[in-house]
Amino acid sequence: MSEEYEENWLEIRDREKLIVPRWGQPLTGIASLLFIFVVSWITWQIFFAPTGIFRLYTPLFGFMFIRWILIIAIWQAYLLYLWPLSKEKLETWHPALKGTIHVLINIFIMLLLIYGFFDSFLGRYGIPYFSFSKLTELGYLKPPGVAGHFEPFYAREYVSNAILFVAAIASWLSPVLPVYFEMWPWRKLKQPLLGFTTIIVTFFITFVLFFVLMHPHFGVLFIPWQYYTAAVPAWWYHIAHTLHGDFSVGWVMCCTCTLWFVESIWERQPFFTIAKKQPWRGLITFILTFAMAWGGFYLLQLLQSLWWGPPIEGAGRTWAPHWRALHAGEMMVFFLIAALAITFYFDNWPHTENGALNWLVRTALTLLGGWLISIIYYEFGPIPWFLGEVRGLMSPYKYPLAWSIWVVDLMLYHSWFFDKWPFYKKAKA
Amino acid sequence: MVELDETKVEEEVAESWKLKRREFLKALLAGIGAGFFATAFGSSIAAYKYFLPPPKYGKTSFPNTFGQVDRIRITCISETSWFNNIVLVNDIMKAGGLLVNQYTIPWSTKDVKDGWSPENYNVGDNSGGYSALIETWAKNGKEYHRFLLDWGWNQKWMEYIYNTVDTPTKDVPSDRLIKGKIIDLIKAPPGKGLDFVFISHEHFDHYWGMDTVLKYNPNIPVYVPGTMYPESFELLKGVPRGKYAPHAWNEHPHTGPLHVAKEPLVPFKIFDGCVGVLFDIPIICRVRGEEVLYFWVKDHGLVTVTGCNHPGIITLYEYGIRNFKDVRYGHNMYGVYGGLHISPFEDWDPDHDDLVLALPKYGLKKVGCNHCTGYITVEKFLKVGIPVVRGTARHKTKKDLYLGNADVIEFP
Repeated sequence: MSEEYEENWLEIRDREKLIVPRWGQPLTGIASLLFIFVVSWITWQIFFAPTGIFRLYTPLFGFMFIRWILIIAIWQAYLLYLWPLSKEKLETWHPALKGTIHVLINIFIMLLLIYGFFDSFLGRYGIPYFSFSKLTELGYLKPPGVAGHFEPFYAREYVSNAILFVAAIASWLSPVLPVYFEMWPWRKLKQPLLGFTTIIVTFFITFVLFFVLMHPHFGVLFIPWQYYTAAVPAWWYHIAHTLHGDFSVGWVMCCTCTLWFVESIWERQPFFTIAKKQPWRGLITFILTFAMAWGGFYLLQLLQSLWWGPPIEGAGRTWAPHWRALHAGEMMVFFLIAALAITFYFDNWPHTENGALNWLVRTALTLLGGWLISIIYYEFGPIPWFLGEVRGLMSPYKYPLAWSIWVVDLMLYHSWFFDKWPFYKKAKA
Repeated sequence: MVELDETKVEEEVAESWKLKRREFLKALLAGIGAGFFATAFGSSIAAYKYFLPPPKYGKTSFPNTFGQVDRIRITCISETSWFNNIVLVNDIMKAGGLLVNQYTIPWSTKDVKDGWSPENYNVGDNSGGYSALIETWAKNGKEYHRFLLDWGWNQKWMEYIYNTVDTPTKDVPSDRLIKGKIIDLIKAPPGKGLDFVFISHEHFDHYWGMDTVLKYNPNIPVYVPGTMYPESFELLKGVPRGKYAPHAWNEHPHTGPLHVAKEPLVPFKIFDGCVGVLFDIPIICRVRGEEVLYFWVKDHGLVTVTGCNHPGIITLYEYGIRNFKDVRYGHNMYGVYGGLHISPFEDWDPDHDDLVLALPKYGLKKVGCNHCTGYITVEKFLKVGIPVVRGTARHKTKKDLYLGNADVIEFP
């Protein structure tokens, strides 16, 4: 199978080892990882922490930005192949310059999408729960005779929740085309047409799934309940024992993380060994990883049940069924940080001749690393100068995903946009 | 555009797996399929019911019974912790959201519509407070206890409401009888007025109003959760005005016995028929932990009494099922009093509907809720048949949907 197509510069960079660790391994990897954690801490303190300057982690308002930064980074790197910079520029320009340009584009698109598309267009003229201003105007809920209309804080939190629910699905679907389907059937298109086409396709499918998986959550959220035409009452209630959309978030996050395990530590193996041609290769990979993700979703809930006992319908805190599902997704993202660290900063160690052994060792390291990161978050997060959170696993107002996805955002920025500079350098020709 | 012979690269990778494609596919499908169904079954309700070990709800099982009381009477002194939801939530929003430290939030204290000040009943400070008087009788009236649950927020409001709400007198033993207002109980000497103050948690509206009690009765025994932040312990020792947020001051240090609940989920006996349990949980506005009260009422069963019930009412009853004798769904689950923290700002979430749908199976006979329960919640409770006791909407309580300021509930 030999064909002509435009290749993602990141693939060329990594395959041909255009950048190499500055001080060899594991020193470069450890230094890079420490750098990411320090930058995440500093930026968290500036932008998100409840003791910081901007205090965006209210919690959902800041979480929404974090989520969309991730999606747009995926669009830029995986769907647009870092367009508008040409391959020559990507190869020759200083990483700091390239990275700054891409980060600025990323933030600009993120703000445009949230305030332009969701808040000013979709929310104002279609579905009010996507618009802060419209929801506040209408009154976020109107039970008969009850005070509390026009309350801007919860209006903003509800809208942030809706917008980040869209992002949850987009984070799963956006890389499906490039990773599983290798851009089939649009592979021969040139950039930026390829990028825009695939963004539109995944954005469309994201919204279709949003209406099935998340919209019923909002049908229940607003009073009175939407029983008939506006939204189906949460159809997953009898399998999930909750009306909450966190059930969908939990399994979608498991699918998302499994996809990135395939792309990072598993190097798309063994799935790409099975089928040679698209779309079969993509379909089989999608189905198998979907089953694996659900297996992981069930397994992580089972472990929680063994630890705390089974969830209880209607109960709060660690016994709440919706939180158990969400927490499965939260744990998966801790594993994702470890997987990305192995791929980005330790060059996917180890590299023995036995592919299965490499796969198993990296998976084991990912599980161990994820567990350690979760301990860092839960044990040290409450330290006032670190994250300043209240100690405890479950709070209806605490989202470990916000911090963990912020770490992922920074790793993507650093690896995809900044070529891991200054920890990696150009290889000698 | 690049030319790449992908097939060669992929064959090399496939070769490194040392597997033939067809065999590999079969093995993979079998592995993933078996894993999927095993974990799906493992986390199913059937597995929970028949195969998994029973859930852990506490580190120890309390020795079945903890005594009993014949009767409880609860007077809601103040459930209006704040007077205007929008103003309170805006204060939190402006400070940076729900996770900001309560001691640093500039709460609105002036010119709030629907607020209160000594000069104007309808405009003023947004701060109110939460406090309740609890009385119990046991051994056919021979044993009588009387104590405060929480001491509110705005010191002036608390002074006003303690001076407004009547002291209940019916059936009070003659040696404890005090006719007058709640403030007279607070001022009364040890053994005559209040036995102690039980603090549910350190939230501003439950805890910061201590000066109003301590200036009359600094030696009163106090129960507090050991999970409180240092500022809250400091407040007990005395904090000048202006150091922290509005109303986070206390000019009369506590000098009496301090009972600090340290071990979460382990019941501690307060007197026969009454235990406290500490739930170590994160709460909004940088607050940690809430301790709750369980009573056992003779011939009726459990009654929970809470400040805000941040752990959740179902969590409390499930804890009861697993730790106290002969409590099960619809049996010996008698009643509730307190804030239930469901829609405190008339906000909503689908998991609150989970609670509304699940609660009827517990078979509660008498629900005396107020404060952070939220009016929306009560409307939903009433629709599914939860027996909510209505109030009289006095002293700035807005509706009679639930028990308000100066209302009284008795179990039985």
